Order: sequence, then structure tokens, then C-alpha cells
Amino acid sequence: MSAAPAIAATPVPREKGNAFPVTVVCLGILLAWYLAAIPMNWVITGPKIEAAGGGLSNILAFSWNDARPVIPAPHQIAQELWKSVFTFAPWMPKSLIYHGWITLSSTLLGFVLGSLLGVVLAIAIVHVTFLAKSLMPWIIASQTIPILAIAPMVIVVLGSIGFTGLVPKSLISMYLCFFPVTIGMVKGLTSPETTQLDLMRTYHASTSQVLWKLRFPSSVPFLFTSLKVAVAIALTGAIVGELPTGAIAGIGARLLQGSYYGQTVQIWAALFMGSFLAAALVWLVGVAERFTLKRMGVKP
Amino acid sequence: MTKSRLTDILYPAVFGIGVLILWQLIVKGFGVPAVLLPAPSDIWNKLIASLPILWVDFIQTVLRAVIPGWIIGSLSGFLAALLCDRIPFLQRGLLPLGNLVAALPIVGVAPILVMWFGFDWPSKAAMVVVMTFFPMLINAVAGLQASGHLERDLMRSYGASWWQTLVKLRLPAAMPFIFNALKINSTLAMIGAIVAEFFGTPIVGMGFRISTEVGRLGLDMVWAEIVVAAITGSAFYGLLVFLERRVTFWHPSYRR
Amino acid sequence: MAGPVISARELSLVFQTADAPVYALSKVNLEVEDGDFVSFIGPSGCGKTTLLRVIADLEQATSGTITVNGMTPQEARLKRAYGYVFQAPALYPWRTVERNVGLPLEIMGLDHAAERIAKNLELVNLKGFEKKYPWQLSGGMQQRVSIARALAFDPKLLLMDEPFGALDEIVRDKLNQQLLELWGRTKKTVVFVTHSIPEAVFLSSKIVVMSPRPGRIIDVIETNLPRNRTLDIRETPEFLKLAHRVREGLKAGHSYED
Repeated sequence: MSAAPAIAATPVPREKGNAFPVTVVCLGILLAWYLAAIPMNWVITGPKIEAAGGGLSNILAFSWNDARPVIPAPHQIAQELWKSVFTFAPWMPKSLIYHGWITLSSTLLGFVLGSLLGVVLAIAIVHVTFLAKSLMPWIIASQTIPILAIAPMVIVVLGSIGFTGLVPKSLISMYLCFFPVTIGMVKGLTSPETTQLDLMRTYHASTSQVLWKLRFPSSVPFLFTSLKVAVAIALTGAIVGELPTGAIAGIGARLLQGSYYGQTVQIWAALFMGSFLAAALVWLVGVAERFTLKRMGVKP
Repeated sequence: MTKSRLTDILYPAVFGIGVLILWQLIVKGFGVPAVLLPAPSDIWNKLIASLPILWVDFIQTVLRAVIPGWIIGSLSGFLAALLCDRIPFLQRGLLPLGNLVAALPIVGVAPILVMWFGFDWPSKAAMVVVMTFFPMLINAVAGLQASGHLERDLMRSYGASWWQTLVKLRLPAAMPFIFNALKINSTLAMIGAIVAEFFGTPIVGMGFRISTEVGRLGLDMVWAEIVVAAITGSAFYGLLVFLERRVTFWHPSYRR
Repeated sequence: MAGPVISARELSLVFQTADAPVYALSKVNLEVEDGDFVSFIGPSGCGKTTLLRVIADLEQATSGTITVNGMTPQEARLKRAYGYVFQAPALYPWRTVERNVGLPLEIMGLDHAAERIAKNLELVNLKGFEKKYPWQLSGGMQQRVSIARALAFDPKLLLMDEPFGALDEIVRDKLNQQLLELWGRTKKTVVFVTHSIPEAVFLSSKIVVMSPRPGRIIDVIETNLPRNRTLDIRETPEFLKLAHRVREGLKAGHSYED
């Protein structure tokens, strides 16, 4: 007996995508946001609503449209974003693109320098035992220290010897992002299995051949993972770098200004801009990762 | 002690001391102004002289903001992970968002939290909660799924309930991931509390001290605060490493 | 208890894949009596593990009927009617040997735990290893702990899925002997999945030869080897005749072709 019997088969559920659940959760958050805005803004809007005579439509209108709310409604943030991005010329101080670019430029410079430094340092650590033993413990220990807290000092010190603007901020970003890249690359460069390294020894391969033909390709996944972490932290570093000296340009500066002048909606808009930049940068690194891994023949 | 273990300790110690000595020599030898880079000896003197201030700052930042925030943030992240485990739909919807949020400059919500919770320590604790929630959520979800296929089939063959399976199998198996998150969160908590203080705080706190002393170019005090922050961060992390070893003694990474 | 311990009729399990339906089990008919030692033998994909998992309610059939102890597999599972031994020991590394053996007792809330644990560790010749951790034991010893754990709550039925597959032949021989003695002493019903012909013939009172595509039973062989046999019996003519019959069955089921 071998022919296919006519039996109803249990279908194996296909792998479901995440688009629908994510959308539902986002909508849920949006709904909760709108609802929470009513009680949260009451301290400001309460008197105004009473003065206008109360009633549901007044409650909703005032809670969701106040100029200086405790929490702005999502559409208010969207309006502010639209205004700051599209109605002002990108080089004007009122434009969020202007501020975004200021922060982005120091982020990118710091990210590139920090990543290069991290890779070079990792290669050195893997090949020189002395460096590995003396540096790695300090690198790991430094992860436990709130490095971001010294950002103000770096800015001020460099400012007093004449470095202002782009360079000190990118130095902070560079300092912050070389740690994850170093640690990730060390892990990656040491990831080849013993059997693979033994094979290279049977070929009498030189150290640099082993590095370029085996260690470096094996470390590519680790590199991209840490680059994603590094780019996000470089952006955070650039933003924090704008705080201490009361900078007047950049995302951090906008956050600070909004905080000083009580311009809540401005703070939220700047925050969304910064978040958008972070997401875009991580996404770009992800695109580069997929492209590189595909070129290397990795299973998608 | 074997030669390898000796050099494990000796090399970094020598390196660290060497850096300190070099630092001291360069600053004193080249007459580098203290407003640029104070010498280690100056920092030490300032530290000893300012112990009362440092202590008050420590209480405000670490004891009132970092520790409570870290506990609340990690606990809520864990509970959210349990919820995601019970409701797979929620997991599929929330986890991608969690990964996204983890990449964002969360420090940016600090001014908003100051606006909602006031200038004092509650807003800093809130900042810490926000920063520690997502790493714990992501790691705990991964940890809850880490228990093997066979082990879960075994529990099924015993007719074990969800709760029994959770407590006896999945939680112990998740511990390496949970400790990973707790360690990451200890660093994030310190950063969150200090940076949040840059946005407004009563006249006490480590972040407050750093930003004001930076403004007055009192860099030796800034470095003194950094030393305290470094010691606190390392001690916190070290304590977690110790606890981790006790709880996850069975993990292959501990067997050489 | 009257009636067979396991009774399967026209049992089938089909599942859809991207290409075409896979007939993991196709109209399987089987009866296992109390006290039997039944082996399922066949190549990969013949459905032997699937059949075991259906008995254990770790998977569900798509048509046909099956009863375990007169109940549905699900009821039997919830009534803790069987002990399951997997291909890997699946011990919890954070528990000592005795706490691992005690795991089902904790979950089921059974008392006299200490006695049960001691008794079963002695059954598998691991007395003295109670406080050790799994990684301190060899693979064979870990698997013996796994067997002790399956017996801890004294189920009448023991289901074993290639339990000795990962071990080397010498250890495997020793464990085969010990398992046979254990079966003799406890009089349990054992269902044992293997892909080793000598192992199946040595251990079983009944051999079920299966073949793939679709998964089905080709032959059911009653061995009648003496109860108190030893490993030497593997060189006797009766043994070789049985092994030959198993091999013929596998060939008939196209198990040796690609």
C-alpha cells in the first residue's frame, strides 16, 4: 500500500509576519496617548474648559490643542514637525532640518572615527597578548562607568583651548562608540573555530593571511551588530554634548531651549526628529549589512 | 597562582598605574593649567576635601534615583516579558517596537520627565525606569524562549501547568539573559540619572555638580564626581557579576 | 487491567508543507499488551518517533483512533500514565542528580519523594551520585539518570526515543543489558524507538518494522528469546535469523534506497 490516501491534512500554519500586531500595538498606544492627555492636561486646561462652559466637545478640543500642554496630542506634534521641517528653509535656525543636520554631522564624524579606531584597536588586541591583557579589563570596566556624564567636561575643556562646535561633539561620539565596536570586533575576530584555525596552520598561512582570509570575514556579523549599537550611541552622545554649554544649535539645543521656555511641543518635535534620525541611521547600517552579507553569500 | 593568572592581573594594573603616573608627570611637568586638566594628585586632594558634598550628591543621585529606578524599570520590563509570553500577539507587536526604542536617544525624554515629575529625584528615577525597561524586556523575552525543546516536551509529558513550567524550567533557564539585562541596566541607570540632572535639579546631585562645576571650570571637582561615579558603577556591576555567578553557576560559560 | 495497554487503529498523521502533504503515519494498526517490550525500528522518516509522540500526546493524529490504558492519549498524559525518555538526557543543569530525579514528583505533588528517588537511582546503578551535577557525569550516566527520572513516579508505561543513540557502542551494550534487567525486575510495558537492528532484536519481545513515505508498519515480529538473556545471545543462530527477518522487512519497505 503506497498510494496517497484521501485524508484531510492538518495544515501547518505558515510563519506569520509581524506587520499586523505591530500596527495594532501602535494604534493602541496612540489611543492610550489621546486618552491620557485629557487628565494629564487638566491642570492647565481645566480652568479654560470651565470658562468655556464645559461639555465633552470642549474637553476634547482644549485637552488636545493647548499651546503649552503638559503632554501634547500626537497631531500637535505632527503639526509642529511639519512646520519645523517643511515651512522653514533648511538653513534657518527655526528649521528642524538645520538642527538635525548639526547633530547629525558630529554624529557621523564621531561614528566613522570611532568605528575605525575600534576596528584597529580590536585587531591589535587580538594579535598582541600584552595589549589584550592590559587594555581589555579597562575597556570592560569602563563600560560600567557612566561615560556620558563626562561629556560636558570634554566640551568645556576643549572649548577653552579653542575647539568649539563640530570637533568636541564628534570626539564625544567617537569616544562613546569605539567601545561597542572594539568589544564586538574582538569577539568576532576570535570567533573562528579551532578546526578552522588549524586548517590555516596546515597551510602555513601568515598572520595577516589568517586575519584577512578567516578572522575578518568571520567577524562581519559581529561588526554590523556593534555598528548599529555604535551609531545609536554616537547620536546620543552628540545630543548630550550640546547640553552643558547651552549650545544654540542641534537637537540637544532644541531640547534644552524647549525645556527653558516651557515650549512642550517643541521638545516633543525635537525628540521625534532625533528618534527619526536614530532609526534612519540604524536602518542604513542594516541595509549595508544585508548588502554585505549577501555579497558574502550568507544564507538570507 | 599560574603565570597566566598573574599576568591577567598584573598587566592591567601596571597599565593603569602607568597611565596615572604619566598623567601626573605631564600635567605637573608641562604646567598644564588646572582648568584644562587637573593632575591626579589635585583630584585626590579635592576628593578628600569634598567628601560631605560627594556624599550628599551620592544620596540624591544613586540612592534616590538610580537604585529605585533600576528596580522598578527592570521589574516592569520582566513583567511585560511574562505578559508577552502569555499573549504571543502582544509579543509580536511589542518586541519590534522595543528593539526600535532601544536605539533611540532616550535621554531626550529627560526634559519631558522633569516637566511631569518636577525637578527633584522622582523625575530622575522616572528617567532610569524608561531607560531600563526595554533592555530587560528584550532580554527576558529571549530568556523565556531559551529553554530547550526537549525540556519543554518533558514538562508536557508530566502534565505540568504553565506556572509550574515557568517556575521550574523557564525562569532558571532565563537567568543568564536576565542577568545580562540587569548588568546593562546598571550602567544605563547611572547614565540616565546623571544626564537627567543636566536638565534641571535642586542644588544637589552628581549630574548637577558636574554641570555646575564645569560651568565654573572647577574641573578637579568634576573629576572627583567622576571618580565616585566610576567606583559606584563598578561596584554595582561587580555585585551583579557575583550574584550572577551564584545563580547561574551551571552555565557552560563558567566551565573552562 | 483488561485489554491492551496501547491500541491504535487506522492511525494517520498528515501535515502540509510548502511542497506537498507529508504522510508521517499512514493507517497504522498496532496493539501493545501489558508487560511487552516493543521496539519500533526503521530509517529516518518512517514515523517511529512520530508514533511514539502520538502515544505520548506530544503530537496529535489527524485521523484514526488510539487509546492508551483505555483512554485518549491526552487523558493518559494528564493522568501521568507514562514516563518519557528522550534522545538527549534533558537534565536541568541547575539541579543535582537527586533533584532532577525528583522533578516529576514535585510537579505531580507525590509524597515519599526521598524513597522513590533512592529506589530508582539504585535501579539504574547510580547510588552515591545523588549530589552530583549533570555536567559532572558522563553521557551514559546522564542518560541513566534520565531513565531513573522517568521511573520515579512509577508509571506502568515507559516510552523511550532512541535513548542510547548518542553513546558509543561499548557503553550502549552495557546500558542495553541494564535496561533488560530493569524491565525484568519492574515488569513495565516499554515502547522503544531505535534504528539499531541488534539493539531491537536483543531488547524486544515484539519488533515493529516500519518504513517511510508514507510512514507505515511493514512487519511485526514476535521474538521468543529467553527472558534472562545476556549479550552473548547476539551470536546465536536464532538471533541472526531474527535480525535477518528485520532486515528483509526494511528492504521490502525500500528503506535501503535513496
